[in-house]
Amino acid sequence: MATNVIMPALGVAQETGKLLQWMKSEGEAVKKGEILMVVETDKTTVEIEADASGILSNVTLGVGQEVPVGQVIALILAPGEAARPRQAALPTGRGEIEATERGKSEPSATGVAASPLARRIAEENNVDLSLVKPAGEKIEKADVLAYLESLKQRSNARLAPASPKARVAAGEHDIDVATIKGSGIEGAVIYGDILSAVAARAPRQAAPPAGRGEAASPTGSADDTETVKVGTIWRIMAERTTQSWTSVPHFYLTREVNAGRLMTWRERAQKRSPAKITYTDLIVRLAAAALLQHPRVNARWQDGAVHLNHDVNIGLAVAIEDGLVVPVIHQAQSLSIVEIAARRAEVVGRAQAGKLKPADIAGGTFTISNLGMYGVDSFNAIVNPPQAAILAVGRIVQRVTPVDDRPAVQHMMTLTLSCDHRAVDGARGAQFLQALAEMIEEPLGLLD
Amino acid sequence: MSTLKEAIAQGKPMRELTMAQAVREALAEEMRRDPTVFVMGEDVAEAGTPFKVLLGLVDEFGTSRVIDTPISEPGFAAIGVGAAMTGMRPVIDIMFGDFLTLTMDQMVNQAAKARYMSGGKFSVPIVFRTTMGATRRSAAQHSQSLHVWPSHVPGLKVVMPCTPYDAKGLLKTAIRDNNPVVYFEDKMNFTTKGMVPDEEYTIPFGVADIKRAGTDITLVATSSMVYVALGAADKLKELGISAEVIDPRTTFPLDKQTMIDSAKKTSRAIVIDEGYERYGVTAELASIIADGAFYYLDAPVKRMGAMDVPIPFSPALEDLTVPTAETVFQMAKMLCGRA
Amino acid sequence: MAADVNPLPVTESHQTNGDSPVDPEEWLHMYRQMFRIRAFEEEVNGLYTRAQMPGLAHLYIGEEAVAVGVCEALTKQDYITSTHRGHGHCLAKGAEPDRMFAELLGREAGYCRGKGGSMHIADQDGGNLGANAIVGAGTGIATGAAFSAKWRNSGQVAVTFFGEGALGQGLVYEVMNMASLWKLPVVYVCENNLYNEYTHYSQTTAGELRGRPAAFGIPVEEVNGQDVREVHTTARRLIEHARSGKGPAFLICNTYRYHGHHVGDINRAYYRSKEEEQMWSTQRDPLKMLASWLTDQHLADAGIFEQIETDARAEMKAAVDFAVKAPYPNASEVTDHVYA
Repeated sequence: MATNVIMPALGVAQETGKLLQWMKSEGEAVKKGEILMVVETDKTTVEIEADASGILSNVTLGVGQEVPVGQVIALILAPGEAARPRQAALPTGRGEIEATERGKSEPSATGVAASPLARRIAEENNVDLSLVKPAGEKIEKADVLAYLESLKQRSNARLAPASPKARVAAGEHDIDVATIKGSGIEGAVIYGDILSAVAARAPRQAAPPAGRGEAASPTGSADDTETVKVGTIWRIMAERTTQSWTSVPHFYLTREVNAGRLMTWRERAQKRSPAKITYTDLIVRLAAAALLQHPRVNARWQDGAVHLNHDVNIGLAVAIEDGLVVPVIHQAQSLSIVEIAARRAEVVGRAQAGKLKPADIAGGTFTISNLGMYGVDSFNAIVNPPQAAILAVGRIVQRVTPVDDRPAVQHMMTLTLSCDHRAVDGARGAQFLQALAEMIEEPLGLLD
Repeated sequence: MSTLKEAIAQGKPMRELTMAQAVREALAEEMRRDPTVFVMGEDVAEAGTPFKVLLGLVDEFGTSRVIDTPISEPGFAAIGVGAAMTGMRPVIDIMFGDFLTLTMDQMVNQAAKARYMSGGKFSVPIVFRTTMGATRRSAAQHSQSLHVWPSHVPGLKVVMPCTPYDAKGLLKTAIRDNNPVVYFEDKMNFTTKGMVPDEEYTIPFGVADIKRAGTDITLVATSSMVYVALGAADKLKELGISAEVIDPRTTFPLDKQTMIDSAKKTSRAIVIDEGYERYGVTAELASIIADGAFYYLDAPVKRMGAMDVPIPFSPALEDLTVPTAETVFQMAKMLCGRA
Repeated sequence: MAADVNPLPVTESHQTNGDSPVDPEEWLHMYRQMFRIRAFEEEVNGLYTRAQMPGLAHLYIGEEAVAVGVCEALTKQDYITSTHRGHGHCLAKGAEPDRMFAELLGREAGYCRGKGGSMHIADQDGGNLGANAIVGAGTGIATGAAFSAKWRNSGQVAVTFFGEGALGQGLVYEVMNMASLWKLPVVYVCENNLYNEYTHYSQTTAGELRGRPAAFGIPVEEVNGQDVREVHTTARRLIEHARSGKGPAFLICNTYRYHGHHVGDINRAYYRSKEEEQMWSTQRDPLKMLASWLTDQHLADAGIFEQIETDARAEMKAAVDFAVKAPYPNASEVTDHVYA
């Protein structure tokens, strides 16, 4: 049984992926778990492991080519299995061509990994399992139900009144017209409504980045600047920050907090943990708790609506030589400090080694950027779309502050919350920041 | 120089003429140019037609080229077809567009088909000059706009100018065309004045004229409805809505692209025509726009034609039956979400 | 008075030969022409019944003397308009049977590139402005052609063939009115074959048939349409009347169509009897009548007639053969010729 090698979907909004490198050549043996290829997503460059052992075959995607995610780009043939005829190969008859075409475009439903319950639900609802995208390794009941729900939404979208022009624009901007209130005749969504919706959210497609144009422009000899060649990660960082900066309406909330208790907490936690506990770990833990109380900050603006995320997946801005990457600590709300620390150590380590896996960077709902270790007092971070907010954490420094009307020296830390104003307003952002500040100043209530 | 705007841009010397004068000038020029051109119809000679459009023509060309006929539309239309098939270029005057009904066999079964049925051997270079338009208190049999009838028939070309400039240039083209052409003048426009170049010119068929440029809504209007659309555009301007007014000038051949391009640009279109609304010119033009600009439209393409009733006599009733600047304005406002 | 109101230029006198005697060779030529029409139509009947010819076929058999008698009095430049029963007129005016059959079979080699067919066959070069499937419509076109001829002072005459059924159409009277007013060189040839399709003309025609053109001041002649000599001599006179600028004329030819309204009209007893049909085909057949006169006059004998028949049948066979083998028009032609 051959295994399909697909262009993986690695991000919430990712539509296409670009092949940067095949680590195995066609006909070469590959072992499950070995790095098979390097793929560029809209977030970063990732190495993709082989899903199966066998012989790499039927490679249809060349280096530098971009295809929609989910597309089969090669096969891994089981030992002894013959290569499938290629489209380009001379067919011996018409039937063979058709068989080949079918084989390529419609992987048989039985070949899809699915739980028996998922299979039964799919059968009852006439769902082709090959169209269902599993969240995990195989298709579960929830995946099928989610697929059915998406079908329903799609048909609702067709029924939603919208002008042809609006539908075209909605398609281009990946907006579901059904989620927009129309201002046209009979409440139809018209082009202007789409424009408003687009203006009110971060575009999910990177605009042609300015960086590329600059790189392409010739650097004249009279120019006394030095051109630094940037890698893919840097370029993506440049694109995404530009996109965020130019399309996300930012606002900033800054608050000083007393970090004394936090320091105490860290010392105590460290004693119980074999691995190193950082301030960042503590702030992740506290932020996760605060985000649970203030879900509007753990959200994203999309298709003209605020979507609340159930999980709190906190990304950490990590500087590496090539630029900025944001590995994610998933479901931070349910992790202990020790678990957070372990997870943080693992992903940051991989980030610094340039070995991030797709899953490491996917699904973030909130980001924390801590530049305290660089001696920065405070700074304004750029929101990481489609997230609603990012927390910038400054260094802990001793300040003279009035305590009970008398000056006292205290350990203070400055937090700056950058918000996407389409998802979070000033008051909601402030409430979240207040909750977080209170937790930092009195973290023991959370102690595990 | 297919539009007045171009002619003005080229700095051509001009004078002001009425549409009737422009039509007469076109006929006279073509009759001087080509001895096979003649005018035939009821009261075309000394009477110069009831609308006095042809007044004076007989003085220059005599009764052998400006020929009064019996009241016999099928008969002289048929003679026109036979003459056209054998070397002449008749201009057949059908006094009222309503009388086209009487000439249908000549127009539809004979003139329109002779070329095709003969595998290209016969040509029928004939012009049927006739009128259209209501609101002259002429009641049901002298007020109709039946231009869609010939527009429907392969083999015919259909012209409907609304300005003196267009009327002259298009009539000259019609006379020189080797196909049967049905040429409609709105009775209400005979006294309409406009600039006409001193020098000779013709206007190609199938080239729409953008009578007014705009960005927010497209008003495609034919014949006298162009003035209705321009009136509506004035009112819309007061609301800050910029309307583009397009006059196709010929319903066949039809300049589809100009209409489609305009609708793509503005995302909204209304088609205004004085023929009956049902199955009318508006239906065809709206369908072309909807088809060609579909993915650029932000509202349904609307049609405004004559009310689907025989034209009533009473002014109180008749005025209700045709689109007006006000009704077009209201429709445009609604499409632009400003109702 | 009519001459005073005529707006058209005064016609110059054109050469006429209406009164000169007919050369005996010409009668034999007319026999040949009539026989060619009959042989042509018999081939059409065969093609049609063998389902090799699409559409409808209205046969002219029985009426050959009208087309031949009239057309022999015309020049090639003169115009005719014809009817749905138009093969005879077309042949008599000089068309070639191979291209005619090609037209009837919808082939590109046809006179109208296969676009007209039997009911619209035309031959512009031969002055045939076309068969017309709207009854009476040809009278209008011919009158227009006569108008044009007079205006151009070309000396041409237009003849319009129509059945007595066309006398129900108002257009015929409208154009006769103007033709008479303006002295147009047009001859209206009414082929009275007694039946408006399936209805005897006495049921459809009030008053005197002759009275109708007479009302417009148009001279009328009525002839035995089965006697080509009578048709021809009268037609010559009327055509030259028209050509000389004296205005239109009207010729009634009493004739008979042997076959049904069209090939499929087989059971005709409900509108006419077998006896009537037999009487016409045995006693009033134009070919027999002319052959017997030529024989009596010692202008021809059985051998000559046999030769004519053999030649004509061979000609028609070859023509059919040509047409059957001729290619259909290219699909791209469907949009050609809509506009000039």
